[in-house]
Order: sequence, then structure tokens, then C-alpha cells
Amino acid sequence: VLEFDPLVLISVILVNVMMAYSQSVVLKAGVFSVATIGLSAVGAYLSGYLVTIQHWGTWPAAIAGVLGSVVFAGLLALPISRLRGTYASIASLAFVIIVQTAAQNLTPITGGANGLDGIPRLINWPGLLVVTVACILLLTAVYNSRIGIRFNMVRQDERVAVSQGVSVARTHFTAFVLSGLFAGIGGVCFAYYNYALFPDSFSFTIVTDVLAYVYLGGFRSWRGPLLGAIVVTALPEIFLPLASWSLIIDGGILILILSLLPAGVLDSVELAVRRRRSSRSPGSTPPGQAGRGAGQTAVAELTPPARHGTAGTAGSRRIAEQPS
Amino acid sequence: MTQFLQQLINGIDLGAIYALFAVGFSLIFGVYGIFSLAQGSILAFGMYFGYLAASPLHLGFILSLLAALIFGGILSVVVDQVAFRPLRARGAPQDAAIVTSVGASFIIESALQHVTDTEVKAFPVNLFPGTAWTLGKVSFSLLDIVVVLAAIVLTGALSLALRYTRFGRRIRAVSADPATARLLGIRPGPIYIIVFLLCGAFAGVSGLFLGVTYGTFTYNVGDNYLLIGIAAIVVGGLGSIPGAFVGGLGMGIIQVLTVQYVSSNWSFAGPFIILFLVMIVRPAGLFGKFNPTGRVARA
Repeated sequence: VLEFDPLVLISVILVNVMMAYSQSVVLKAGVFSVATIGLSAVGAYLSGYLVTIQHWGTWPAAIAGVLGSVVFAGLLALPISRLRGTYASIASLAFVIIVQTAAQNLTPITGGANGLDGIPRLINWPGLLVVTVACILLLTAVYNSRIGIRFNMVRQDERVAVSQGVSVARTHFTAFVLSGLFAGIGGVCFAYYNYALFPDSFSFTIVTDVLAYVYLGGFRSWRGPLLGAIVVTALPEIFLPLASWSLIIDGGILILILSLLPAGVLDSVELAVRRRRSSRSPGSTPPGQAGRGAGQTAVAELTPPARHGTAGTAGSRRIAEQPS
Repeated sequence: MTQFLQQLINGIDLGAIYALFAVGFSLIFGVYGIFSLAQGSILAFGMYFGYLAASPLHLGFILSLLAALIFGGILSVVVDQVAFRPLRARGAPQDAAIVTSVGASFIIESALQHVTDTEVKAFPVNLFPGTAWTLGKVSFSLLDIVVVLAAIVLTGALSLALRYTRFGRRIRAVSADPATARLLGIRPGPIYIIVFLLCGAFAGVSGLFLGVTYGTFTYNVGDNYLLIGIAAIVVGGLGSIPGAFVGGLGMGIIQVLTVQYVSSNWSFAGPFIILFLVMIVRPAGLFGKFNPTGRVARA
């Protein structure tokens, strides 16, 4: 039985937070891609391979790893940006499975099923903390810029976005590149922290874990993924008797959140607070309007069309509304 | 050549089981636009109840098959009521159903892990007669024939029922537009229950056939079949029943041939590389109609 070490837990959480950011960026831009784990595998294996087998320095290998993830993300954006909803998720899932299979079989580079070991521990929790804070700063800078507004517009209504002169394809490409950046940073940190890499660390199960982080907290700001990653990672570690039930708890959380608080716990609370504020001042901005902060556009999102009449017809496809 | 023919027969056998699974999987998407990732764990659940009937209870093959079919169907309805119904009520986007179905599969798999104590469970060897014939140098068993026939008959019956019966017309009406169907006097509620019952039953049956073919299973057996099922229905065309059948058959053949001629480690890569290419080149798959909503003019 492993002894509980809070510093280890904190390190694991910090790496997971970066994965959560990578996943949340694409969701923020309205693409349901789950490629994050595949992209982070590229960064992790590339940096691990360069450090151990090619004897590169710490920094060059790290930069190469992150660049590798970004390049793959950019290439992936081209086909996936043409797909929507379920189709995008399946194509990105296929990418993750292909990467995992490659990790299992390209033995000279990845060590195969035995893993790529002998990576020195090049980063510890203080370093991870610094990197995570840097990621948060970058994410908020992006979300507060024009790019963030474009993400919101494309997610909320592509037609409105296009009519305002926003290129959907380019917005998705930006989101993928950012997602690749966070995934690459997270992957390199994962490699530098864990001594060894195994294909199972990048499997389908992990994909769903990362989705759980993001959907629990919400993906509209930097706070939601942070909260989600902390809660989902720490819960089974802190309540050890619960560990064998952790999957049941995770599953229950996902179903409850999506049924009751579709925006995630944190975002739902924040949106409710903002809605209350804006309802006091009449004449607030119509939905999807550019030029305002993310806060005001977000208000429109808590009022789903279904509650006010027939289910939405514009925008993304709704369940049970599909012509056969 | 003999070896190739033998592997082809093995591939068709495995593919027929995949086809059964994929047909149920695709039906949900075709009717409701829900991509349910819980389908793999429903297969495992059906397999487990088939095992319970076969091994501790010694009920024989037919009753085990029925047990797998019934419990798969019931679980599928429960998953719909718990994980999808609240989303329908809200008119949630498709992505939400993917996430809640992942949640449901976590719960089911974890429950299976607890009831099986994470042990490997084995079907009794004599559950199905081991009769086999040899034609030239190629051999095939009674089980192969039963599996392939079952896949053809069940898939054919489902397609015909959807097209020609009153009940099939109701399903198609609800799938086209639940609100209009309601105006025409069709209550969508029972239709949802019947469709999910059918999908679960297909998953349960394929689970039992897999159990009998391979003999043993563990609680997480559904994960791999889920991935294969995804590949099968996407290549065949999401929502298309004939597409799912052909896709499942194709995946079985490709997988067996990959294991034989490349390496067993790559058995998943083959289907997924094909899947990825299909998504890029022709997202509608072989038989499907691509319905890319949310896809608008680009600036």
C-alpha cells in the first residue's frame, strides 16, 4: 500500500490541471474534441525519448516535446474542424487510440508495453506550480482577448459568428493549437515527474477522466477546470475507503452534473450570480453580441431554448431532434 | 491459401458478433442522435448474466442467451431513464449524452468489478456443443453457423420491422420529430423504452456469443468491444442498420487478419486508422447520410 503523500497528490493534481485546460480550450471554442490525452502523449514520449535515448538537455527536449504536441494539434485541427458534435468526438478519439497503439508498438522510441523508463525526475511540485500558474495566466490572457470573444461566439452560435466576420475554421485552429500547447506542457511535465511512461497512462479511461474534470467544474473560465481536476483527483485519495468506489462516484457526478447543472458547478454558480446582477439593470446585451466581456455573453447561455418553448432549432444538433 | 480461408471464416464469425453489437449501437444513434458510450458495459452486463445462468445455475445455452438478452435490454432502459431522459427534457446538445453515457458505463463497470471480485470468469466448456466440420482443410463449427445466422436473422428482422410494421413507423415518426409525433397521437415515452430495450438486447446477445466463443471474461471486457463497435458503426455510417452490419463484419475480418499477418499488438490500430480516414474523407461512412448540423457557411 502506497503511503499518502500530500506533495505527490499536489503534483499529480497540477499535471491534471494542465490536461483539464487543454480539454477546456477546445470545448470553449465549441469543438467536442477529446484529443487532449493523445496530444499530451506525443509531448511526453517525445521529450522522454529525447532526454533518455538521445541525451538531449532538459530544456531543448521539453521545448521539442511541447512543439511536437502543438504540431500534431495543428494538423488534427484541419480535419476535425470540418466535423461537429459526435463526429468530432469520434475522430479525435480515433486519434487517441492510434497514438496509444503506436506507444505500445514503436518499441525503439517508446519502450512499448514495458514503458520508457530511466527518465530523471527533472521537475517537482514547486516547478509544476510555477508552470501551472503560467498556464493560468496565459489562459486568462487569451480568454480576455479578442480570441476569447471569438471562442464564445463560435460556441454559442456559429451563424452569428460568421455573420460578424469571424472565421470558424481559424478560430477552431487557434483553439486546437492552444489545446496542443497545454497538452504538450502537461505531457512534458508528466514525463519529467514520473520517471517512466507507459501506454496505459494515455488510454481511453484517462480521456474520460479529463472530461470529468472539465464537466464537473465547467469550461468557461480558468477556475472550472482547476476545481474539477482538484476534486476528481483528490476525492478517492483523501477518502481511501472510497477508492474502490471512485468510478461509481465519478460516474454519478457526471450524470448528476449534466442533468442538473449542465454548465458545471462553478460556472453555474457564476452565471447565476451574473444573471441576477444583469436582471437588475434592464437593457442588457442580446446573446452572442461581440464587443462585450465574456460575462455578459455567458448570461444568455443559462437560458436554454427548451425552457421557453420548442427545442432550439438553430445551432448545434439537439438530442431526439434529428431527422432520420 | 488454406490459412487465409480459415482466418477469413474466423473473421466472419467474429465480425458477425460485432455486427450484432454494432446494429444495436447504431439504432440508438439513428433514432435519437445519442452516441451511447455505455453500450460496451451493457454488453459486459449481458455477458455476466448469461454467465450466471450458465455456470452457477446450469440453465443451458438457450436460457443463458435469454438471460443475456433480457438483462442487457433492461439495463439499457435504465441507462436511458437515468442518463438520457433528463437531457431530452432539457434539449441538451449531443455532447452531453456522450458524457453522461461515460458516467453510466463507469457505474456499470465498477458494479461488475465488485460482483466479480475482479476475477476472470469462465463459461462452462460444454455450454454449447463443440460440433465442427472440415471442408477441405478449412474447419468451421456449429457455433460459427449459429452466430452468423443469428446476426443475419436478427438484423434482417429489425430492418424489416422498422420499415414495414406499425410499430416501426411509430419509431421512425418519433425519431423524425417527437413533437409532431405527439400531435399525431404517438406517445414518445414508450417508444424510447422499446428502442432502448432492443439496443440492450442486441448488446446482450453479442455479449453472450463473445463469452461462449472466448470462454472467459473480466469485468472490463466491454471497453475493447465498445471501441470496435464505434469503429464499425462510423465506417458503416452512423445510424444506418445495414451499415452497422457491414461495418461490424468488416471490423471482425480486418482484426483477425491483422492479428494473423501483422501482429496482435496492432489489432486495434487497423480498425481505428480506417475509422480516422473515413472520418476525414467521408464522415457519412459507407451507408450513412451525413447530417452535419451546426455546419454553416464559412467566412
